[in-house]
Amino acid sequence: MARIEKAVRKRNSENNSIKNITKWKQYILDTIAKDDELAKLLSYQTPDCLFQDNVSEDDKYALINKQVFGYRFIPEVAEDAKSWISLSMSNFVPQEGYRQFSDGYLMGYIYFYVLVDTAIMETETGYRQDLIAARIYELFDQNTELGVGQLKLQTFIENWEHNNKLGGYTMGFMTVDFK
Amino acid sequence: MDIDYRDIYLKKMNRLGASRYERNLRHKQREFVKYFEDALNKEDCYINGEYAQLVFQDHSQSNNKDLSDDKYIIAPNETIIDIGSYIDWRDSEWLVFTEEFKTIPTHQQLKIKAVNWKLKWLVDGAVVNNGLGYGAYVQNQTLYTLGVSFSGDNIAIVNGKMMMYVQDNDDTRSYFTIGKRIFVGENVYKILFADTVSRSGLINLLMEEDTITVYDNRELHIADYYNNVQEDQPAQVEPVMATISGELKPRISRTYIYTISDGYEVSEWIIESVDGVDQPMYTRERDALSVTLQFKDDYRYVGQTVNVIAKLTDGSFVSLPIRVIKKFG
Repeated sequence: MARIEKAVRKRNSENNSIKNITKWKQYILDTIAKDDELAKLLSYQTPDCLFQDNVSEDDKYALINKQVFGYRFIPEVAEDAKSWISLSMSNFVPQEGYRQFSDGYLMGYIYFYVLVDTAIMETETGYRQDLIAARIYELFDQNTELGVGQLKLQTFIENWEHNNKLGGYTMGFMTVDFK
Repeated sequence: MDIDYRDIYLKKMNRLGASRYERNLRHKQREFVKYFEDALNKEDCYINGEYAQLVFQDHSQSNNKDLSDDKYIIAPNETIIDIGSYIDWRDSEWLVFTEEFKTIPTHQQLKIKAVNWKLKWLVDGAVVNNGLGYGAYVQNQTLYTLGVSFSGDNIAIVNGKMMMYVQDNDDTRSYFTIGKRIFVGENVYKILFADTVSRSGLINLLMEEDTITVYDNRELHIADYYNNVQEDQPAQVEPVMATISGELKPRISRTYIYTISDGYEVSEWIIESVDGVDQPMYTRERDALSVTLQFKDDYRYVGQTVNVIAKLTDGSFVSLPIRVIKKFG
């Protein structure tokens, strides 16, 4: 028994990348739910969304699990023209960079999926998916709350689905934490 | 008076029919008139709003796919009725679907289906057809997707399919083009295919379920309502205060004119940028009645609020807050 326990013991059993995933997601959801700009972009479906009144705190928190999800696939069927943000964690590997390799750290991506119904993409100051992506970039790029060091945007690609009825972006931020 | 037996003979032949075919046809015609007079299932109805009497015949309902209690109707030749006509009968609306080309043309025979949905859309801010809309025969065409598409990586989306028939007229032809949206039941559908040929007199439409937007009116079942409706204009009252009229959401790079209401004169126009020190526009012209503003072609000004203030000749002020928006879209 002792041998097995020793074999599965991790170097940082209390604080490592994989164990932190839920904690990170909670932090991300909290940050999104507290942000007035994202709340307006998600809550108001008219072109003047950013110039509407701030969304109340209750309504902002109600966006979680309605339009903002801590996992990739949104379990509700889209019936109304809205926008959604969902998350995933992928590609965690031992930390590796130019002429360096570390077995003590894991690096991986936190993906944000931004999806907007084509019917509501137009707003007065920009396209809704661009504004949402820009705000997510502002909130999370160089953020030091997740893992060690800063989050860095490493990938940014278009994401269109359902015969291009919904469109937006997939944004991947790289994070590094203990293995 | 001389009796011309030839004339009498010709009149008689005209009445009876000049040929064997004509004589037989008229005989049949009289048979029909007699049948129509006494038919038990002859009932009052309205065809496209005109009063008429028609014979309504039941026919087999064994074809369950049709989902409709179809009837045959029989009408004298004088009755004006055609494929696509609406019939009001027994408090419900029916749509004429097919017409039989009678080989012995003593009367007309047509098939009708019960209308199961009223289509409504706005034309010039009011519901089409004097607020009544048009009746349609709608059939569900959702087969394999069960009404929801799971093809995406992030979310599933409504994806029901519907088919419907509606009368082919100027209103329906001009509205039912590709991409137009319409409520059927509690959902909105997008027109993807319109066929006016297969059943002349009717338009056959294929539709795909669309997401519902904030502009759709779910209570009245009218799609794209709030961006097209015309609010009732309040009765014209003399304005007690001067007002400035002009574009509330000017776009960068374009030029707009702001005018003071009739009967007032402006001694000074003041343009005030609320958000920044920089003015997002140049003043091109100004006089006692209006000011012309050209907005700078610079994206940094998008979203800024500007106050257009007029100091009137009597010393009072009026203002109009406007918001600069993006160039396109």
